Amino acid sequence: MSSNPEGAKRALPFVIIGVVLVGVIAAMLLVSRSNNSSTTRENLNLNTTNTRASNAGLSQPGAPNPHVRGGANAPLTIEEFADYQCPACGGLDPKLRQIEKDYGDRIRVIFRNFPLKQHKYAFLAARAAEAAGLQGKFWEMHDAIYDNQKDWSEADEPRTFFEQYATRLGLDVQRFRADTEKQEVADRVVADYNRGLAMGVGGTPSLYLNGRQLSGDDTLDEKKLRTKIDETLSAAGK
Amino acid sequence: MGADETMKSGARGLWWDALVALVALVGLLDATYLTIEHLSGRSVRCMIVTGCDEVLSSRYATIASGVPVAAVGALAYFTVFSLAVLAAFGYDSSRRLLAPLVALMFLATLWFLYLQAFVIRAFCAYCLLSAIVTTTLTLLVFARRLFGPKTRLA
Repeated sequence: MSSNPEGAKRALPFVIIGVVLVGVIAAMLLVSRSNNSSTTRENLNLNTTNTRASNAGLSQPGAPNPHVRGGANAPLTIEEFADYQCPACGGLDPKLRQIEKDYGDRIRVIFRNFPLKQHKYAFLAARAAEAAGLQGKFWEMHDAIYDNQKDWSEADEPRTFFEQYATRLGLDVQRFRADTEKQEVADRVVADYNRGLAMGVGGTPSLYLNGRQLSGDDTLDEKKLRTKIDETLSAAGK
Repeated sequence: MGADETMKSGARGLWWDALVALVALVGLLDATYLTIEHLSGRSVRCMIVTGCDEVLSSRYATIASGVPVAAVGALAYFTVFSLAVLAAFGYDSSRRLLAPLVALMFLATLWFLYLQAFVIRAFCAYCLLSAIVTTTLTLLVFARRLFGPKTRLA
């Protein structure tokens, strides 16, 4: 026979359980609201990062002859630090391409490799794109890798996909395969990565407009990004 | 059993249950914190990771449809907590559910420890805390069954 308590005691355990449940929910609501303050923290970080960024160019130049798209004498330079396996970078790329089309030779985009260690194939993908660059097809390979991000990033052997893209682009696949493993190619990626670290890159994608780091918010929201681009352009008098 | 002994074993039973509830509460707070971290602490960008970030941003941190593992853990701890509180107040039938639930949580704990040690190869302190809590709960619940006060499970 189970000993069920009587009277007020009946309700007490449920009151205790209820209080704990409400407490947990309240805690979650409170914390999610306080995440607005994290934007302020990020803005403070950006100020220190921007001073550091302008100095970094001297100590960490990144890979020599970086890959650039856009107007050679553009008043606005966007330096992008990205990881090919990062979904947010994959999402940003088509937006950037459209922006490049819309702004024409008023902007130029410099691509910098920043493969994160938690992305298994990011370093490989970066080397593959650089290897294609040795045969003059960097941007085409870069675009192909991003366009098909979902395919190769979940595969057992992404090299198969990269070699497919190389074939489609008319590259010498043997050479491409060998170049992907070359030290000088790896060095390019590492040089970009070190430049990113020196400039205060904390994650990908990271964008620098004429040397000033953009907040995560402005980077990921296309409207905000275009606004920032317009602001920087008018500040440069163009 | 004399009335005296029934009282004593009843009181000891209460302490066991209260202890289980308390330990489960610690687990609940930990798992809630992790759920919050998981859901709101990370921006959509991919960050340079260290320790807890590495574990929480791994694909093992969510179940199929994007539910954070930590949220499931919080739910489990809350259930254990509720069952223990009810048991402490004499709802003996709720104690029956404790053992299978805690056993399941323990298996999950072993799985997550394995993942951290051999697959992700990074440890998150809060996950380890949860592992300790679940192990403690397992020991408590099963020790009580073997050595604890005899209560008639209705």
